[in-house]
Amino acid sequence: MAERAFCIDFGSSFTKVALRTDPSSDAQLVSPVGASSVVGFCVPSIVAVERRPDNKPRLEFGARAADLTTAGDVTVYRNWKKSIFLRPKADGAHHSPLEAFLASGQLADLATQFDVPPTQLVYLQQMVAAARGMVAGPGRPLSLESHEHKNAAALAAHFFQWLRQQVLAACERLPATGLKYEAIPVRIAVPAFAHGRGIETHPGCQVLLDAARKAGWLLHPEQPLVTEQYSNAIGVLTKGKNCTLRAGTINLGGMFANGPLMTVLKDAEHHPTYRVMLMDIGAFTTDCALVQLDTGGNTVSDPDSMFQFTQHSVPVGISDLDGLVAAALPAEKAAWMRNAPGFELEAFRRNVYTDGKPHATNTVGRIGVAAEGEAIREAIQAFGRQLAGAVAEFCDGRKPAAMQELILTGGGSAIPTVRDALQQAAQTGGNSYIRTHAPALKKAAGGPPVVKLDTELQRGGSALGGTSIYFERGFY
Amino acid sequence: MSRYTRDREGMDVAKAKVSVDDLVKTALQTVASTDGPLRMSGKAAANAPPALFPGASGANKEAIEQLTAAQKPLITVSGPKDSATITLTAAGFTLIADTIPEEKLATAVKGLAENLKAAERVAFLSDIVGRTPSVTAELLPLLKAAETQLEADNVAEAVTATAKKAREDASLASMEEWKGTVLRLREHEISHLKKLLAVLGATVATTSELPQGGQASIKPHGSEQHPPAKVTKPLEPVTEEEQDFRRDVAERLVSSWRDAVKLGKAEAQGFLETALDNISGVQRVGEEGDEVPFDGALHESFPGVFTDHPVRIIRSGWALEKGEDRQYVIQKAQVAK
Repeated sequence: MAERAFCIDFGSSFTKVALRTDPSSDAQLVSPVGASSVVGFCVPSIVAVERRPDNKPRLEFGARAADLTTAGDVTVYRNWKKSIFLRPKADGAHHSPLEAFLASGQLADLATQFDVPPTQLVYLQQMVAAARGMVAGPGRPLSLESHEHKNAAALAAHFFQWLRQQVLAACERLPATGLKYEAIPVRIAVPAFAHGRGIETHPGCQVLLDAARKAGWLLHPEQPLVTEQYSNAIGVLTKGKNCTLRAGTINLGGMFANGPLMTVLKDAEHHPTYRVMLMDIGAFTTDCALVQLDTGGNTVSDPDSMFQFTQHSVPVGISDLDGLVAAALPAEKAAWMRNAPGFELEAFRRNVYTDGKPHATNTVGRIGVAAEGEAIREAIQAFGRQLAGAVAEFCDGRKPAAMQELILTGGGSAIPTVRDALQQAAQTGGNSYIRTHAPALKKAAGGPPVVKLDTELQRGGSALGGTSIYFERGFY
Repeated sequence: MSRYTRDREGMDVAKAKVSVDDLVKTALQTVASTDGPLRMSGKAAANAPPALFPGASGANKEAIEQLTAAQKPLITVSGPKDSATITLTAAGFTLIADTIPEEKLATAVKGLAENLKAAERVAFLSDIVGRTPSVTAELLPLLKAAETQLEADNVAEAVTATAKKAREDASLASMEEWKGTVLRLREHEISHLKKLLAVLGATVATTSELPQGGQASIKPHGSEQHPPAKVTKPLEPVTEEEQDFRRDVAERLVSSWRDAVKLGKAEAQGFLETALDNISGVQRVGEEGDEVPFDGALHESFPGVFTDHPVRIIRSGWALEKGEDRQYVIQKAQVAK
């Protein structure tokens, strides 16, 4: 159990860090100096390296590296997180059946079933890999995946070290509490994998933990990892709040505001199942996830041990919507969209996508007037249908839970047309929702209750949730 | 004495009222014609000087008051009450001058004029000559003497005024020096107290940092993390909506400025720069021509450039303050090698 905790939500584009300074204090997002200047707590997960002959490589991170370009001695690494979670094929050869077995989710599940510590399983995998390397000998060619994986592992260590310096510097600017921030343990939010629990066994997760440890972070003693979707759900549902009773034990009712989850926990006989459906419409991907609890009709005092996860990603995001809209516009206006700086494109999206009105420019006139506006609306509807199809496919065939909540995050959830399409698709298979959490959402007449998400919950929900005492076993 | 008759009903039947002015004139004439001592009032007695009035009540009282009025006395009384010397003043003499025979006038005037100041003497003599030109020749020496005296008086007065001014100047100079000395003493006292406070582990706010009302605040070391709320920036946006609004306004202006630069519209660019420069919280990122180390958070990159490479700013950028040591860079500065 940790009295205090950091949580790093290590995202492909941005990394967010949250802090809980006390068991009963609300989680807060940390705004390091190297963060994006638009949203202060979002740190670009970008690393740039300058390799000059006869000189030691120099590294740059975050906002200072975000706009650099790969050329000459400079290499910029973007979206390198996925390389950490690659399961590289055996270098220069195929996986042996033994290696495939050791890396399988089935073995991880079995290890959990037989109480084999995850670290022991990892050691076993590493031992077999080392033995194979010895047999193959030096000079063995590396596969591209293996090279990327090793490179990403090295980048992660440097990135986490820089991040720690920035975070600790930001913490020093917080109101004086006398806390030793460097001694506060950290939990890292990682993608969910097929086997759900036992994520520590995944080689990518081990890489992250090793990198964090090398960077000086003190890992959480009991649960150093948490799945992103799960912590996001906890962050949104609790709004980052932590509550304890007089006895010092967790006050779940206070944290979840006595919402649907509490109804299931208190009256499992009549409400045996609970489910959160999360949809994150990002710049390049849309992630769908189900976080569900099946009590079997029995009273549950420790829900954390019983939650299950299912995840599905669709390689479609807001950048695809930009492409569809640009294709519907005259060439000069499409070029304007492609060359507009970030703040200008954000204003364009807000006006045209969210507010449904033209965007005025000095160079190409108003974009979205008359026929153009109609073409843009059609593009947005097409994008919404594309996402809705993927969501409907994800939801289809799943038996509805007794209590369900829907959470919409990401930039795309602010577009009414897209949001409506996703809400409709989420009802595929007879699913209905007690509440919907989304940014800029208005309650429809006669519709279910809505909870409006602010920017912190919309983009920092996973980091906030990851610090929650909900994950501290000692408080139950 | 008037008797009461029917046709005089309603009229005063008491003694006829005596004219005070007549009493005054009579008294003045008596003074002018008497050489010895006089009493102001009283019944005639063998061993006592004659009296101007038989009693000091009624009309006599009013006459005495008029003769001795503080503002413009007609006579002066000196010596013991029972044997006082009563003399005419110039004003009193003027009142009865017409009634004095010409042959006695010059002598009377000389006696009076001797006791007057030069300026008053000139005025008195001029008044007498104006009334009785025939005494001009006799009074001319008096007038010349008065003139000489007046000049001497003026010179003396000027000398006195000069001396007085010199004394006053000296006093003012002393006061200034006094003030300077007091201020220096105060400075020494403050300096001494500051040193004492520093020794005791505290700091003192400067005058410009004092809160309204002028109350000095002493802050112990370690309390600097919680400065009092600044009242000098009332326009600082507080709520998220206010911050969004200021950011939107700044972004729109920068967007138009960027277009003006791109299209070569120098006049529009200048107007927009004026507007941006005057928005609270908006500041330029770099100045054209500055040679700086490259910073990817502030400068637009170009292929091959990396942190700390020497670059030159060829177009400023714009940033918006976001609290302590944070800023939102709306438009990065354009740089070149």
